[in-house]
Amino acid sequence: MYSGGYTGKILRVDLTSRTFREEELPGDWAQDFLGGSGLTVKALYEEVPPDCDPLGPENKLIYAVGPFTGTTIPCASRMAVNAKSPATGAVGVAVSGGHFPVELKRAGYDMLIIEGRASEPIYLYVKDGQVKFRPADKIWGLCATDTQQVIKDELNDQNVRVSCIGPAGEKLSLMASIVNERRVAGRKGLGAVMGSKNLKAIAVRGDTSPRIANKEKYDAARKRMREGMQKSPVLYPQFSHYGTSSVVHLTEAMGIFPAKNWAGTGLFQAADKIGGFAIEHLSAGRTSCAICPVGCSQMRLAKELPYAGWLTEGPEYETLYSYGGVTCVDNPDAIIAADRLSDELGIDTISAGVTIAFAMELFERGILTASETEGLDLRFGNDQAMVKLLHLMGERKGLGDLLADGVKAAAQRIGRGSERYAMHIKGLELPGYDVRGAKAHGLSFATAFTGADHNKGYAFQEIFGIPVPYAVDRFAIEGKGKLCKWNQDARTAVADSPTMCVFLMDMAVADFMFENTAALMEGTTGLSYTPEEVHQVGERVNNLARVYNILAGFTRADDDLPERLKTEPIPEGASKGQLISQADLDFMLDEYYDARGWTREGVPTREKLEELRLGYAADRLGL
Amino acid sequence: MAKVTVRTIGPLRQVLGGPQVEMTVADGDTVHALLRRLGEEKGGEFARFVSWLEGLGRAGAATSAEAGAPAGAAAPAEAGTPAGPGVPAYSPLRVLLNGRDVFPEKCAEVVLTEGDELLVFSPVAGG
Repeated sequence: MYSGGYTGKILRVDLTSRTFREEELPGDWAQDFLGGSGLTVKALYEEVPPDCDPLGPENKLIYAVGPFTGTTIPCASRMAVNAKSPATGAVGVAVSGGHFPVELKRAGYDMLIIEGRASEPIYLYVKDGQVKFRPADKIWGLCATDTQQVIKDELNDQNVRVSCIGPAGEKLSLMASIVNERRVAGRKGLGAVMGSKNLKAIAVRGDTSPRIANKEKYDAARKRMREGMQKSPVLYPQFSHYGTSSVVHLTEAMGIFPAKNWAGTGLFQAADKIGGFAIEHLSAGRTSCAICPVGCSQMRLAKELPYAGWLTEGPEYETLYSYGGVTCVDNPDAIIAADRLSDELGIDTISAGVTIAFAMELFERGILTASETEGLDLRFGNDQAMVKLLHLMGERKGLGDLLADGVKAAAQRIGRGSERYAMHIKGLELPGYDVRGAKAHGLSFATAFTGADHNKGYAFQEIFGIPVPYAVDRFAIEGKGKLCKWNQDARTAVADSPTMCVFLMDMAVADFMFENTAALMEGTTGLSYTPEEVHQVGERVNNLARVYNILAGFTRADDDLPERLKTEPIPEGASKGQLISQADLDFMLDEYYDARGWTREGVPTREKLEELRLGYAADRLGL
Repeated sequence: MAKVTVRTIGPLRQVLGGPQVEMTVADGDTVHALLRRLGEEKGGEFARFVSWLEGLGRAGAATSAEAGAPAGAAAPAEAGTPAGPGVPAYSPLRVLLNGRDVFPEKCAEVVLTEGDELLVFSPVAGG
């Protein structure tokens, strides 16, 4: 049983009855699932029917912080938010940093589970073991920043921390996000789940600190991690100054920066205009999540009309891809404005940008006509049309209403062969890596339990050239099934579940990541793990999430890539000629399922589930 | 003789003298040989990287010898082979030849040929 780190409490709120109660965090949940993503997957599996309507009252919104959140361990101020995703119908976990996670922990909770549906718009105020259900009539319709400010003013507390939705979430856009000040749980449409519950925001305030189980071991583990951070040639020398934005230069040089709705990779060269090294003149300082000495968040200010005056925390790499690469927009001011507008509307930048690129391709191909776009000239590169369409999507107006649920839904509505240009997996739009030139990363896109998610099994070996656990050839397909499993389990175990920043895993502790987590867990919580057992936590979470998705109707056929990636080679650049054919994908999938101990249909076996202490999931599958 | 292109990104362009330079190498020249020339001609990070590489080579040889392996056999970095002693997780510079990584312990083995494109840059991550 844990003796530190965790508060030991789950706060359960029923919006229908406007009641709440505190429950004990079971010891085996902590031991087996650590926190964050792991705990939310466990709760989703136990409590949310896999066949439920994601926007109905049976779905639940589940927040979980980690055992290190709120301690002095750097870069652990994160949380996971989960629900059955309305975008995919699968597990919908998203991870966010900022300051809200620490405040939730300080308020006394490891998890917050929100059930039911309020009869009218409300927001929650959590403080001193109490939950107040407050009317949201003053803030319904407001953008994210104003929502947070009005709540702070109303509560007469400028230090309260707020997690909220914008207009997109209220209007049930399937790409709506949850905004925590300026950080975002962006993907999988979790903002729509919140909106479906008539829940505009959650305000939290607390003043307790977690207990440390073994101070000596805690200090030693923390010291070793900080030494890894100091030694890194990337973390402070580069990442503190540019954040993720410099990766545009890398992926463009490697020929994997997607462009023109994934038809123009290598042809559209924009790094020297929009990449992190090119937009230093737009810097307006930097900021950080709570208890983070790195401070990767870059503040940038647009300076040229019509965007002058827009300030944003970003744009991050993925946003430079979505509002830059795939839309062929090379005006950094426009991207800054679109980034900020997205955070105000509460809409995911990746899904929104990819959806706009989809509309641009349909427009250029004549599938969407000028009358259907209501006069918007949606040619690639038209930054003003992009920003206008984004606004329409966030408010679900006109053409924006057609596109507000992402490319899969839009293609179904439009028809006329448009599905071929809809770049998604399981209903989630593709992130910014042309995986035809990074095969393990592509396999992870195809198999991630959340759909096309770069963060579930990031192949840092291929993208960043880090030879852990071994060096790889990014163009090869052999061995990638095994590597993909390793990455997915590692990412879940070392970053998303203990809620440690993924960038630390990539840049500072790659060669001792499991030992690092084990040592921090022992010092903080008193729970003991071998490095192998830490890695196995990730395997457990990935297996339980897979079972949930199978129960929701997913099969091997859903572990797929868009047709374009399987049939059209990358046209130009350092990855020219690369693609992942159906035969390549099948080869990698077989290898992946074998590595996971699943059947060739992608179903976990009873033997594997029992090995992971998930025998109950085998029973539920009828194995 | 072979003509090769050396490219870089980010602040290292100032050291290289631009986003790319064309260089002529002798038959049989390796990536390491070209990097050494860059170190001599351009200095800065290139020179420091070559010193680091050569220090790594000595350390790798010593480690291998201690482990009973043939002297000079750096720890393996083939696909699927676990990284061992002497294979650092983080390198001061990253080197790609025609889009593929050349890991530090392989720089002295990989021979350049006509038309090769070498990308050398300070490591970038995040995203």
